[in-house]
Amino acid sequence: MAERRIELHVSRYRPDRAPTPYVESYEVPYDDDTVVLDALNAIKDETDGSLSFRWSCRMGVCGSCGMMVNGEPRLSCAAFLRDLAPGPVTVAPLRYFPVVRDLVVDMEDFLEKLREVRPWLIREDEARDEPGAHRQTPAQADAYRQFSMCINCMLCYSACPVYGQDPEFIGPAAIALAHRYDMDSRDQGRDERRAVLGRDVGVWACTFVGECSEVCPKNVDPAAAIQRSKLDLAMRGWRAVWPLGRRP
Amino acid sequence: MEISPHDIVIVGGGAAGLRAAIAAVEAAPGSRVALVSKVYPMRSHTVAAEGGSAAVLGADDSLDLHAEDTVRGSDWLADQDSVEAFVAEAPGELVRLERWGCPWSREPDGSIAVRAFGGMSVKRTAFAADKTGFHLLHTLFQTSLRHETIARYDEVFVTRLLVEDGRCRGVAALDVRDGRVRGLAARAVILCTGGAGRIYRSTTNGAINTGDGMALAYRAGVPLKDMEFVQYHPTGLPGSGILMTEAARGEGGYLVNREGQRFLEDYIPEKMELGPRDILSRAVMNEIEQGRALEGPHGPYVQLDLSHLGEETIEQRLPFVRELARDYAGIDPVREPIPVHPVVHYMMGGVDTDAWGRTRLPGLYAAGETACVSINGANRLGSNSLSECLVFGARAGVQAARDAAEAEAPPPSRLAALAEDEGRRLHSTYLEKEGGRERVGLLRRDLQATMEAHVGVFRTGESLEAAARDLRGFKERIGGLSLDDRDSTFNTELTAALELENMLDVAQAVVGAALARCESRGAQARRDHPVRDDVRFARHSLAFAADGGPRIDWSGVPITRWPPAERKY
Amino acid sequence: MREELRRPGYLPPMPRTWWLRTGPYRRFAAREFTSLFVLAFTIVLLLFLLALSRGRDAYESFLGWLDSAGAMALFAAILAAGLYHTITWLRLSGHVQVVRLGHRTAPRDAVTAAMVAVWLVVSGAVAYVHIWA
Repeated sequence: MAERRIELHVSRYRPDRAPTPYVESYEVPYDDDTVVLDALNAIKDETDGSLSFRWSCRMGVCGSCGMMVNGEPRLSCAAFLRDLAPGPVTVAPLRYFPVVRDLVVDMEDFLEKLREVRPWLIREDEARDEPGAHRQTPAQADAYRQFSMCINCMLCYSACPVYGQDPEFIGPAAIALAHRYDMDSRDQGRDERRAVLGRDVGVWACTFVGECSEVCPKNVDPAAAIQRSKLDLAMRGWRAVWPLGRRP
Repeated sequence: MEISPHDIVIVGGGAAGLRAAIAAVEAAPGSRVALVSKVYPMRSHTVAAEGGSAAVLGADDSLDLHAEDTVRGSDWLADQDSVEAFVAEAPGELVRLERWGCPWSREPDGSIAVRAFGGMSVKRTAFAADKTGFHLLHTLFQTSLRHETIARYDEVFVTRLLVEDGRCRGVAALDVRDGRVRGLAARAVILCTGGAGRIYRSTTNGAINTGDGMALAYRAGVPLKDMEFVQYHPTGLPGSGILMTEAARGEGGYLVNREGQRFLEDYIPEKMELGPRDILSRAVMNEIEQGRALEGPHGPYVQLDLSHLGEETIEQRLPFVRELARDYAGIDPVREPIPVHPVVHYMMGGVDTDAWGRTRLPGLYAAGETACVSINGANRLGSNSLSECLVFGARAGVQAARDAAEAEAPPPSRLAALAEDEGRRLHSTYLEKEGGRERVGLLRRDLQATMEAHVGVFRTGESLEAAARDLRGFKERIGGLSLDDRDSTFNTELTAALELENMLDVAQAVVGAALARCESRGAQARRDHPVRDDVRFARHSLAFAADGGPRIDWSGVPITRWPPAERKY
Repeated sequence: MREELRRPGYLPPMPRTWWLRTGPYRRFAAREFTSLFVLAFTIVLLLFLLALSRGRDAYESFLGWLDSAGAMALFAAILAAGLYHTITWLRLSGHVQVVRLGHRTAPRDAVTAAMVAVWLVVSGAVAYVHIWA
């Protein structure tokens, strides 16, 4: 049977040689199991060792291999060439992030935002906690589970035009992570995170385009986390003004 | 060259490395701890672990039972004193992780749930659905963000340990971002770089598992212990090698051959699908050799059948397995069985350490899959590894903090000279090299093919000798590597070449040890020596780096309460 | 090491026409744009009240305008925009509205479908009252 081949137009950027990116074309064989990542590895191993990209687990859990495939943010380990045939397929680095080299983008801003939302279990007074594990019912665990599934792949940031226009925006994944802890029955740090989320560059910058949730490969639904956080903040604001129903 | 001063440098940011970092700063709050990882920590391969983390949590369980299961699973090669310490500390670690926010799956009453797992006589494997490693890693990483004294060096690749006056005093590392080699000074260095599954073609491991820490220690004169014991996980997807967790069998899944028979009744009827991994992998390979397996585009396979578990159970307890089977095998396990066959998964062997993570090189420690304490001996029980990372990551962190407080600061000028040497070596070997015709990717494939063909589930003296010859040939060929990429900025062909150097050293240690151990025990199955020989080989192998290949020595196995017996289930 | 590197990389500025570049962005822009039609409808209502408050002649002349071709075209556009506005709004609600079914949550599409059904029933009732009753 004749081998199937497909063309890839891959965005290259080699700052040591040239100040701007350019596109390089490669042709690779593929079968029903070949993903874009496999094609990139074949190119690197056999043809062009200078092609740089991040990857590791190749099973959609490490979050390393996010890139733009045919203009959409995808995990390259989950983008099957059989679905993109006959091609050509464009492969580019994740949108809205500074490109370091070829398909590799700078992640420092994202890491900083993760830290900003205080993504750890906060207890009011750890000294007064009883020893041993906290109890948490299956229903309580379900309340935040979906928001804990984020693999930090950053596809949501590449889908978000607000982040594209204003890199100060905290962004979908960071807010979803904050929400994960806010919804965790063991956490008592909601007020601390409200201070972060309630800023202008927090949840209020979001205009609910909703694309973040569409591209999320793990169904975290960061858009939901953001809107629910907006509701929570709004209710807090309301209660601060309106004395009836104020919580003790 | 400037040297960044630290008290403790941890190489590798997975479960063991992150746990060590947190333990170190908690034990010694003022200390300057550096976490140096060639990838951002949440990419570490801990993230792919699925099934669970074992500890004695229930009233129906006991430390003795967990220890005995572990010792039996190890085919009596585990250090029993270390195993006793391990089982005693594992429960506290799981509770600590829970307090840090780990989303363990729960019983209806709110307590941490446990499931059955291979080789465990009692249900003691705590789990977070079937993404335990993912949740564990992210909990550890997010908790580490709380400690601002942990300085992180992300995408920085350690290429050499700096040893001065018989002590490890720091590391030389390539900053992948800009291509410069820097030195980090330390009073203690902890290696937590994981395993080396990528020396094989078919593995559950990610790209990054290239045995870097093992090679660093090996080249610094520290021996690698029990390297011949490579664990094959019985249920990986053919072709990709993607892991189908043991939890699928823990929840009641069956393994069937071409005739639809649950063939394990012929091998281990007492345990069936919950037998230990070495026995199961051999069983599957035997079915394949006897012609009772199915044929597929990626070779022969047997079937993991979950269809009788029902959609509810699968969605509740094995949702990730369902997702992976659909995406990568085109199978919905609710309706059809999943094709599986044994794939390389874990290295029981590693850097020789004691139960506090200390190696015989003062100032150097190791923990996690990189280390060999040994608590896993010749075969590891599933769900002991995540617990191992936590217990020994913590121990190494605490011990390193203690020792660092008493150690002298390393002399910066001498370290600078060593680091500069390393920078020059990298430049001349790779970036300025003329001539040379070998491609990194192709040489790597040849290495993987050799290991796959000659150092598999079943080995013979001949196959191992063939592998040793091939590896010596690769050692020569690697001197002729020529990189396409000579750039400084984010040169991943350079890091691939460095990884290949490490893989080759590790592979030689594996083959050398396998040749020296003329017996079958645990995961080592030699057709020419099919029986366990406690008289000659109830010992750990130690592979020391030497010209032409490793020199093998031996060390004793501490036995406390479980004298070697026949490994029956 | 990180602090020393202050050259994050190559980042082209976001084009002003970003909202035309992909299908999802175009649909988002269209959705936002429909609010202008909602505004237009509100203005027509206010003009209606104004006309009502100015007496019979103003009221009659306003009703006359409502029958004109221009007004028809405007209302057709408002209806189309309003429908798109409503459907996109209901789809988004699926993200925010959590519906618990035992220990599971209803999938987003199911929540949206339920809301659309309620909307159709209520709209049907209102239409019935206005047109046939």
